[in-house]
Amino acid sequence: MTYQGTSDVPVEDSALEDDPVVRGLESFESFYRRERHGMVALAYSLSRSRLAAEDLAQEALMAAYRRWEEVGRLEQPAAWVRKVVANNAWSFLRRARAEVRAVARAAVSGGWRPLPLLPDSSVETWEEVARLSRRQAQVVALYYVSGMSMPEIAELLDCSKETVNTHLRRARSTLARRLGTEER
Amino acid sequence: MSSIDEKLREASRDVHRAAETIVDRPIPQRLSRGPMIAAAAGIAVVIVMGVPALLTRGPADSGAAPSSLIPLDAAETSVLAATWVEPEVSAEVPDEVREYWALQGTLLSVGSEAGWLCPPLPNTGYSFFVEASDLPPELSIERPGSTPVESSFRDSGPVCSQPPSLVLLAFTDSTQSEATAGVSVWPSIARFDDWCPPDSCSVEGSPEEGIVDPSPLEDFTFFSGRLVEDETINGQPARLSTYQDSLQLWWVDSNGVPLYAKASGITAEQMLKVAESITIDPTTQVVDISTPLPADLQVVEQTPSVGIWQSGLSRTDVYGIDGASVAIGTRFDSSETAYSRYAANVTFLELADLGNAKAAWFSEGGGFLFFETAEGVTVYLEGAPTKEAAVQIAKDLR
Repeated sequence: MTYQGTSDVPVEDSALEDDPVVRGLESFESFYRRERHGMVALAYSLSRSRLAAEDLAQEALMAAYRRWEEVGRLEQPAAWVRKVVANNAWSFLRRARAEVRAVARAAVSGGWRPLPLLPDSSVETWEEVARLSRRQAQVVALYYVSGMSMPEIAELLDCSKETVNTHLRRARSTLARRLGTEER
Repeated sequence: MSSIDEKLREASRDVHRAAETIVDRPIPQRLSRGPMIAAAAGIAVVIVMGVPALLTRGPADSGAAPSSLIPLDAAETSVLAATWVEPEVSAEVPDEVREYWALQGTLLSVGSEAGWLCPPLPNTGYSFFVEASDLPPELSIERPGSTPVESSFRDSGPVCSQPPSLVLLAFTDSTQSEATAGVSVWPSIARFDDWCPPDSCSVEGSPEEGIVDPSPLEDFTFFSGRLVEDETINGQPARLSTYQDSLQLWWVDSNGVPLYAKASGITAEQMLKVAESITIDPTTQVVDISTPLPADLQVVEQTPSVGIWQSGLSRTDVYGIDGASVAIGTRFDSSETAYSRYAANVTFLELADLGNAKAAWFSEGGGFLFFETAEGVTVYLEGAPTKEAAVQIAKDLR
């Protein structure tokens, strides 16, 4: 998988391709109310920015809303939205990293504020997660924040369970070292 | 000492609890027509005042992106077969715009020896970013003389003038027989002050905390766009460039007011045509867009803006449109979502309520308050539950 250009194309189309349409159609409002906070949490764990997390979650949910007739009938519409969040969060980070000065300014103007009421220790943890490689960060967020199993993550990220396991193991090792805690 | 697994589980519980405290945004509804036509089209023009006249020729155009094989040392060609490719560019961006080059490569057999990759940027003296994506866990990237980095680093200087110079993929494991990796290089046009002649322009200092700097110059000192070309607008020099998937334009209007505009979803030619029609009253700072704009921008044409700000963050540009009482926030990547959200329930405020501010509006959708003080300072607040509360907060700030 490589960059496909400058436009940071969300994964909406590719995410739709593989999921069987087996469900009835839940109301979007009901889905939104149930899933939104979890999407914000996932987006925050990958972006470490409250504002970005809200936007990323909202955008992903909006993407689902625009094609709810399709997405809403998927077996796991939430997984579809998570995939959009996970991929777009990385695009957000990539842009942010490129905009060095903008990021520096954000640091003083509040753009990178953590979620309210988030303990400092958790802020630090998620900052370190955001420093991981793309796949490692995604695997950590999906595993811990979204509570997905390794097979589910493998399916969502289009890779093998072994690869997911490798990413998770290496991520834990790196995070343990950086956060000064035990690996196991 | 807790394990990293326990720490991550605790942090996950914390982030869920914290997310629960986020005020719900309006559940998406069908977009209304009328003023939202522009929003639905994903188009916006953002204008920022106060840009010094800076219009001189920039560095040489970087030309077309190369697509030849990367100049690897012969010893590494068996390690990595890679090609620098031009990325796909969205249809909205003119053909001549190329923002960065991407390396797409398949690692045929990964050895422990480092392989040097020298990006074939056509000009020297460019700053650039290098970022690797989707690296297999076995790989990392390094730069000469430094420790490995996981995903990205920034470097600058003569590119590949004496290779190996800057960019290195270090293959740290020999277990992976085949993998793909992407490396993107963002060439920066130049530092603003590198090619802006003295006395012609200046770079403003950092904004104070909590105050949004309306000047785009800070961003301009490093941005990931590419100069398209110098132009003239109404006989005055103008500069057109790219930023992300947007176009940026700096020019001086017929009143002598330096302006900056950013737009996406239109061509460079359309952008210049739009700019020709825009003037700003230097006293009232009211924007007058007097001539027809491209079809997708008809809404802007019909409703002159009264206040236009750039937040300083690339993701929250905003402007207000009088009459229709619509304010629109946009992002550099022009999200329809952002438009619809910010456009909801916007009301303009009595300027006297804010100490005779030049302009102010409040969005109930997100509790956003924007206003520009009489002194020209743009202030942005977020999270106010009501318009009245926002005004009170603003008063308390003053």
